[in-house]
Amino acid sequence: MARRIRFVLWLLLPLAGVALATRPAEAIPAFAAQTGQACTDCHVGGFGPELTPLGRAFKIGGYTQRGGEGWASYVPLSLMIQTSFTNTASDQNPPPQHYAPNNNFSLDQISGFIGGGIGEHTGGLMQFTWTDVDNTAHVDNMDLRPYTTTFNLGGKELRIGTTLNNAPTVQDPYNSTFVWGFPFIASAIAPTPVGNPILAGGFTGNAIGYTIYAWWNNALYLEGGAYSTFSPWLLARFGNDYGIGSTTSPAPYLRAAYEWQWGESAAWIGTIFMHADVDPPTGIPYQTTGALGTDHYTDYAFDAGYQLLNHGPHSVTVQGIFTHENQNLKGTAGLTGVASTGANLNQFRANVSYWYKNTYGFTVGWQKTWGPANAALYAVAGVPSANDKPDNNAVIIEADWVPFGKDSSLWAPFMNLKLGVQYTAYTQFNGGTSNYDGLGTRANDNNTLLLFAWLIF
Amino acid sequence: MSRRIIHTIVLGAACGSLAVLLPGPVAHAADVSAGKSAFRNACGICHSAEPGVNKIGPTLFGIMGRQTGSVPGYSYSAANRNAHITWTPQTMDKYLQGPRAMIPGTKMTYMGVRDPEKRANIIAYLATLK
Repeated sequence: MARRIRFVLWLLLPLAGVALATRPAEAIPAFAAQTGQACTDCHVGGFGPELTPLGRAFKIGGYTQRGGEGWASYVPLSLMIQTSFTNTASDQNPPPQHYAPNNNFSLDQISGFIGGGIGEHTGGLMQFTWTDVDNTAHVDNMDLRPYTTTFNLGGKELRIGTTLNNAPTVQDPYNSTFVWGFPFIASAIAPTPVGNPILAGGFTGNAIGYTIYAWWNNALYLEGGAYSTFSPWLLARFGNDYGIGSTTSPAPYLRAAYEWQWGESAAWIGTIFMHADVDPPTGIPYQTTGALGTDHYTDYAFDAGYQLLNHGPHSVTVQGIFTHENQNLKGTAGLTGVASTGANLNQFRANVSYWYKNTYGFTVGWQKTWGPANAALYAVAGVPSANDKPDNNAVIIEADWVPFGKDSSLWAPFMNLKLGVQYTAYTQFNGGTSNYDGLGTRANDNNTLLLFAWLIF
Repeated sequence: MSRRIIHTIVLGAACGSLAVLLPGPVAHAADVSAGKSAFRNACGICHSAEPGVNKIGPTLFGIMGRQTGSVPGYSYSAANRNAHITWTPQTMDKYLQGPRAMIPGTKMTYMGVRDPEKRANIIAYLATLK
């Protein structure tokens, strides 16, 4: 039984990797048309998803701002296409399904968006994505704001709102967090490390989050709520599957952040807490079980960021997040037949970006994950980690060209384009530097060159 | 009957003359209520109508008659501080057509209000904030 589960997990892992690696965009022209703002006003570099202070205000305001004119400002629809070329330092063995061992062109995503406000108190964003990589369609990012309004508190504005969303941090206004964090695009074909905290994808697309938030004086942001996984019936219709498992009780989610704005700068610090009790997946689609025990995860994250946005020639942003996760994996340990149940995981992500005239961008990112050996998660067949450790270390360098997105751009605000080249260099991968999988593979065999075109209108 | 026509013509001419003499974007009858609604939708995300409440942009309470870059406690761009423009219906009308065209370098990134009637309504509402 355990051997069969391991085999199914091995089959599913590449799909999980694709789901985690594929990052969509939020910069949709429907928002630009609704607000009467150029892409550059709400997004660093004139292209999503990294938000400026105004972009954060628009998002926290429930996507309700409306300053655009004409019939187009009432059409809440956008379309996005991502296509890319992927090269890895060594051929992949086995090759990605439907693709060659190396040097692949791929149509990564075609996404349709419904986004905007209805009146002064209600708005949202929904993304539907089809990918040619595995030829599937699914409900992608969802961030609905059923109701938001403002009060005067102590002579300052207090905004209160509610969200319904389908991934922790998809609703977050800061790009130092996970769903909208750097890298904003990644190869859907290249291998990616398996070790990630649950905040970084454990409930992405497979849970409903219901939270309440408060934003005081454009500075203090507080949010609290919980996540519950969808039923198998809903998951099947949404085109998604369980990540780390199905919740046995609502998973609490708490977020606090404080932002300072002065001159042409903005800076923030924040923290996130999440705890989840889940029945682990059996390896059969849409099926979990608590028969052998329940898994418990607790995440503590601390993030910070700085932006210099002078709307002149130069923009600089710096952001980072550290996450510590405690794990008690009795359920997974039982399913996989290993003895150990307790472990932890640490991860640090940071990036620095420079943009010239919101047109030419250069970003350096760093991601490091480390933790003790964890046989329950990393000893199963198909997870190529010989020492059962989640350790990985990657540097990501990206250069971008965004020729549109300004208020004077061609067809503004109805079209935007980003062309870029990204290189990811690994010095550690799935626990090791060399021979990390016991088959002689080196971490830098996974170094990935990605050339991409990202079109949205 | 002819006296009534003459009376109407005289009254119309008087109103027309008064309209010409009055300052501001007078091509449309301004609707303060519509301006308040437009303000909430288009401007309210960045600007408060309350005294002393600065958001991403400065409070617009008391904006008419004020000089650019003069709200205490708000960190203006150098462009706004050095513009030395007094906000009147006319200057505001020009500004709202394209903030960055009138004050290059301003932090206000809004592309502008093209509809003259909407501008007039917003300006009429702004004039009540005092």
